[in-house]
Amino acid sequence: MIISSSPDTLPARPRFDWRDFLRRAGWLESVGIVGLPLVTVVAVLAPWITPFDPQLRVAGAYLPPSAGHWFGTDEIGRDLFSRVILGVQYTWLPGLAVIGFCLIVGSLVGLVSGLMGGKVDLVLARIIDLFIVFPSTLIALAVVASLGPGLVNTMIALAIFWWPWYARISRDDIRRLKARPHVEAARIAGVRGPRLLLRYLLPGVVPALFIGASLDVANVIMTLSLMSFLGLGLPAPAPELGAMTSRTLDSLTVHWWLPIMPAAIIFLLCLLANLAGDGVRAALRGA
Amino acid sequence: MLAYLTKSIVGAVVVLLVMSFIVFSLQSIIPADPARAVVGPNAPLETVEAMRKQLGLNDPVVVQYGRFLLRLTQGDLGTSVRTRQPVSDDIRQFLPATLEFGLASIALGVALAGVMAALQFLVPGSGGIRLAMVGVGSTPIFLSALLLAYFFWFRLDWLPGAGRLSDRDFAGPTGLNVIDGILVGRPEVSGDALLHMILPALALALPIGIAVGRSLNGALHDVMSQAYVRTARGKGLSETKVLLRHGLRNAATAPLSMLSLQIRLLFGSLLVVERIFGWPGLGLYTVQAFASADLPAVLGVAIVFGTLYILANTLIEVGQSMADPRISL
Repeated sequence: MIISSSPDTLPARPRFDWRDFLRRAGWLESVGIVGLPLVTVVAVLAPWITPFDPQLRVAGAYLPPSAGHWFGTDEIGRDLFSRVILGVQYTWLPGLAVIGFCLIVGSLVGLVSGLMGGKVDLVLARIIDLFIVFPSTLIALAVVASLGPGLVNTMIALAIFWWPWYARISRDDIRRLKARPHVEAARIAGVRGPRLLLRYLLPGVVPALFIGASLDVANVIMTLSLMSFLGLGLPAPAPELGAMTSRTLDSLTVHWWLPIMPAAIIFLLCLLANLAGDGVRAALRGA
Repeated sequence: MLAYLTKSIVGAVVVLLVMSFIVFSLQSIIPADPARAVVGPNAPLETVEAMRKQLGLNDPVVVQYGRFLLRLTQGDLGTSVRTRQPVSDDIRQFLPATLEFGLASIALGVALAGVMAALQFLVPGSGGIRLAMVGVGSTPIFLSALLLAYFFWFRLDWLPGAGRLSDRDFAGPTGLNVIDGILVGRPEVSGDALLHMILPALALALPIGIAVGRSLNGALHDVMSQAYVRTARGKGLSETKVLLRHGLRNAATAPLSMLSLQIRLLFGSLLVVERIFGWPGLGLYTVQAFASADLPAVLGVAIVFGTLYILANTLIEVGQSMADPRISL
C-alpha cells in the first residue's frame, strides 16, 4: 500500500495582510515598521539625494543650523546635513549586512545542531555557549584593534561574536519543534530530508528568528557606531556617524551641532529600529 | 557549592584562554611589526631583525602564545608600545579609577531599575513611560554622555564634567578616591570625588536602569498574578511585605540575567564615557592604546576586563540561586 505523503492538501497560504499586521503591532510601532524600509532607501540612495555635495565646501565654516543648512556647516564649510545623510549609508547598510550574515550563519548552525542531535549537537552547543559567555563587545574591539581599523574589519569582528545568538534561537526552536505532533505525523507519513525541514520545521523557526533579528538591528547599529566612535572604523574623511561625533568632540561647547547632530541621527535610527522590533514581536507573537 | 566554584573557575579559565588566543593569534598575523615599533621607523634592517629574534617573533604562533601564557602566570603582560612601561604597571595605575566608577555606575543602574519598575508598576500601561523607556534605550551612549556633559556641566554648571577630582595632586593609598578621602581624613575629597562621578556614572547607568527595569517590571507582573501571591495576601500580609518577600524574590532571576548582559555591554560604553569625560581610567587607556595600535596593552586590558566580567557573572549567578533555590549552582 502506498501511503500518500501529500501535505499539498494543506489549505492555501492566506495572503499576508499588511493592515492587520500593523494593527497588531500598535500605531507607534507601525511608525518604526514603515520607517525602516524608508531609511534603507535613503541609505542606498544617499550619494544621489544629498542637498549639497558632502565632500565640498559650500558655505562659510561653522554656520549654525539654519533653513539653508539644516544641520549647519562644519569646520571647512561642508553641509553637515548632507554629510549625515551619507553617514546613514556608512552605518545602516553595514548594520543590515551584519544582521543578515548572522541570521544566515547562526540559523544554519542552529539547524544542523538541532537536527543532527548527538555528538554534533553537543560540540556545537558548547561552542555556542562559549561564544555567548564571552564579553563580546570587548573582544570585538580588541580584534579590530589587532586587525587594524576599517569598516570591513569592524563588520567581521562584530559578526564573529554575534551569530551565536541566532544559532541558539534556531537550535532551541528546532529541538522544541522536533517533538511536536505534526512533525512526528509527517515523519510517520514518510516525509524526510529537505521536505521535512522546509515544510514542517522551518516555518516554525522563522518567526522567532525574525523577531530576534528585528529587535537586534538597533543593538548592531549602536555597537557599530560605538566602534566607529572609538576610531576603529574608516579613516578620517569618511562620514561615519560615530566617528563624526568623536572627531568634533572638542567643539561641543562652541559648535554643539557638530558632535550632536550625527549622534542624534544614530538615536533616530535606533529608535525606529527598536519600535519596529517591538512591533514585529507584538504582531508575530499575537498570531 | 564547591563543585560550582570548581566548574566556574574552570569555565573562566577556558573562556580567558580562548579569548586571549583569538586576540593573540590575530596580532601575529597582521603586518604591523612590533619589533619595528620598538626600535623605531628609522632603524636599520639588521637592528629590526635582531629585535625580532630577541622578542621571539620568528617562532610559530603557538610557541609565542605559550611563552605569553608563561609570562602571564608571573603577572607579566608585556611592555606597552605607547607608554614604554610594563602593561601590568599601567593597568595597576589605571584600574582603581575604572573600578570605582564602574561599580558606582552599576549600583546607580540597579537603583534606577528599581525606580523604573516601581514607576511602571504604580502607573500601569502608561504610554508616556513606555515611549520614554524606548527612547532612552535607543540613545547611543556617546549621545547621552554628551548631552549630560553639555547641559549639567557646561550650560548649568551644576556638576563637574571632567576628570576625577578638582585637586589633581591628590593620591591616596587605594586609588579609590571616595574611600581614600575618608582614609586620609579629608572627607571633602570624598565628596568631590562623588560629585565628579555623578555625570559619567549616570551616563553608564541609564541603559542599565532601563533594561533591567523593563525586565524587572515584566517579571513582577507575572509573579504578582500567581496563586501564592494571592495566598500571601489572603493570609493578611501587608502589600509591602507581599511585594518584597514574595514578589521581588521570585521575580529576581530574569532582571539579574539582564544585569549580567548589561555588564557585558558596559565594557564598550565604559571606553566611550571615559573618553568623553576625560576620566583617567582603564577605558581611556584602552582608547589611547587603540589609537596607537598598542597591541600588548589591548590584550592586557582585554584579559583584565574579561576576568572582571566573569567575576561579575559568577556573583550574579550566586545571587540568582540565593533568590531562587530551584536554581542550583
